[in-house]
Amino acid sequence: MTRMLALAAVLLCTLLASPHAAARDEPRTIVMLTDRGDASTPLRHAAPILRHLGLIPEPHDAAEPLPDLGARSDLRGVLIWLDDGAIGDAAGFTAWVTRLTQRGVPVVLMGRLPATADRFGLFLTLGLIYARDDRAYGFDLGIVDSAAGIAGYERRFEAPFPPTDIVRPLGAAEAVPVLVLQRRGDASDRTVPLVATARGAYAADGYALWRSADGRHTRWLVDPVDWFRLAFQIQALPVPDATTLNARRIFSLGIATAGADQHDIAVALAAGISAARTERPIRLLDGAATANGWAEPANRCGDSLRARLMGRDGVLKRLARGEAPHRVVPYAPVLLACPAEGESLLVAANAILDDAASRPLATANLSLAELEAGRSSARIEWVAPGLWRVTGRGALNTLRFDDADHLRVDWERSVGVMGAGRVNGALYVSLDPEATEIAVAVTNLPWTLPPFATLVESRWAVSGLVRDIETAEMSLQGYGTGDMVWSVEPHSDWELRFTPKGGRTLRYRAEVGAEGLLAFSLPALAAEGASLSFERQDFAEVGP
Amino acid sequence: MTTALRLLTAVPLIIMAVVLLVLGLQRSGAPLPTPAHMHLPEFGPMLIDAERYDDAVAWYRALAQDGDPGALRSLAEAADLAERPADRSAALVRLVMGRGATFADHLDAAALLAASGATLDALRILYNAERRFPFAADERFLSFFAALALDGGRPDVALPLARRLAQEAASESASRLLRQLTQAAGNRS
Repeated sequence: MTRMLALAAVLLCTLLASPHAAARDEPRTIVMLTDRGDASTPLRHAAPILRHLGLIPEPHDAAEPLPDLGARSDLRGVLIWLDDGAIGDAAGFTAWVTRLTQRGVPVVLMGRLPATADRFGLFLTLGLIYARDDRAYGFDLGIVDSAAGIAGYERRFEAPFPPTDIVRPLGAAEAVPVLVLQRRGDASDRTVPLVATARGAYAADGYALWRSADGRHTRWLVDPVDWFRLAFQIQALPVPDATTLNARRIFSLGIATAGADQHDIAVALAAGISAARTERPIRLLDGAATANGWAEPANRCGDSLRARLMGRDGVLKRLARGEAPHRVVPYAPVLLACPAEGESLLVAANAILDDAASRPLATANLSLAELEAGRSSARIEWVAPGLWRVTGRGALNTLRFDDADHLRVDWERSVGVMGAGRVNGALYVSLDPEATEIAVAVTNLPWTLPPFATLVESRWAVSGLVRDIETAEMSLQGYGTGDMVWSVEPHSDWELRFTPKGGRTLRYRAEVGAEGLLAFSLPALAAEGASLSFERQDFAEVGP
Repeated sequence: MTTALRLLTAVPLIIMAVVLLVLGLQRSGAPLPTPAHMHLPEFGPMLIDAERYDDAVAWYRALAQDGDPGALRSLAEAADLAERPADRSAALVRLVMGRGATFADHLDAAALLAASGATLDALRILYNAERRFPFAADERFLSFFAALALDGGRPDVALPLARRLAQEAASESASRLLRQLTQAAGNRS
């Protein structure tokens, strides 16, 4: 009997410990081989996208000896994107790439081709056939096929095309061509300047990123988010997301000083706007915050004429582009406080606040710097298929799954998850700020009603959620009206009890329709914090 | 007559500036700037900063009416940002027909014309480019030049450059192009 009890205890311990014992860090490092330091195209344009995808760019100078990546377990892929093409170890380059692809590490080749003697071998190891094309023109190239969701993102493809060598997939079945070009209607004279294979991807120079003749303007010709997801073969991956709170894009209008002597101007401006527009928080930023900006400054000193003539069209368009088709930045413009331009700044601030008022944003007491720090420090551990453990997230409380139309939260295996909402095909998972242990699980099984209310979206910050089948209690903080949506059982009745800090409790009744969404808007009384509970009123009538 | 035409072409420019000014002021609600505040050279870049590319094309087109190379190049760049290849092509063609165009301007103009099917016009521009920038014409240029010359049925215009490069560079591709051009010229004669 004692032996059986001991055996049972060992078995129980093994079962309990097995997920943690199996846990390993999700590989997220992308080694980037570049050749112009901080000014290189990939560091300026690709690195922000990789970070958006939850990956960790690790730049290496191509002129240096090639990094030894043999023992790296954190490696998700390698991006080779050269502006000039020179590499330090031309002789060993193809062998280095081959070792990576043989390990199953995707290698993505973009920009100028590396100056290696064995280009044919280099492409072969990526699953591609390469032939140099002496025809240094592309006016006679035409599009035969293009991936509609990826090709032609910020700028459409059209003739004349940049000259490009001839590249074709080795095995057509395992390749995903993004753009196929053909010369003069000759089907035997085709090239695939944008293609992903089982071993990586290739983007010919000038086919992923367009640059204007003066070099001052760039446009992505491919959707960079979808391109890098395809190239690095990213499937379901929880991404720490600093743009979103409770499925809503975070609002943060910053006022920064253009110089040290303009501090008083900035303070006065911030106070003036805050007093007039209490529905949104205005933040006074220091110089460093501006330099590291979450968005480019919405004005420049001395451009009051520009503001008068143009309004804020450019800024507002850029803010809109940051939301769709991918939410890549928070709604966080920064206004520079400049001397003798108070009137122009007020006009700019009001234009931005009016635009913000037309959008469903999250307005709570949030620090973008802390969220960004949490995004960087968050550790994602793979525990089991579809299950990850998240630690070290700091103030960050959102995880995102991209291209997740087929995924939903697996409530049985998730811990510390309040809910999830969908935006642009992505699933934004809201974590409870007070939860120290986070396990997030997703599944593609058909949706089933969870045994408690789950948060879909909220303008305010929600924390300390305690819930069961018929009640939910939480703390709230936020500005403006408290627009909120919860997922509950269809055709259920609820009583809401909302208590602003230091105020009296307000009660509301809510009836949920067939869609199962409990949607309400609380009065703007949570700037200093509040509590909310809701209780199901018809529960006695439900059941057998 | 010329003065009248100039006045006539200036009318759209004036109307656009007034409309933009009024619309901008209505948008901002700010008081009217005095003429002293008007820095017209900055107006085009302002439009581009505001991503009003079509307005920038209209603005630079008006500025480029007398063929100023700077304005023509700005017009071509604005048209490029606006993804209006026909306008870009027209601006570059005017630019390369006048003074101040670079070798790259010639190549861009020729590529746009060739892509639109205007092979002989493109060939003419490359022919001029070779004469104006003899030391810039390399094998890559020859490749393009020869393709257009063959397409346009005028292999003779690219033969001198092909001969020179085949001799100077002693490259396989230049020699191959020389053979093709020579053969085509022979067939033609």
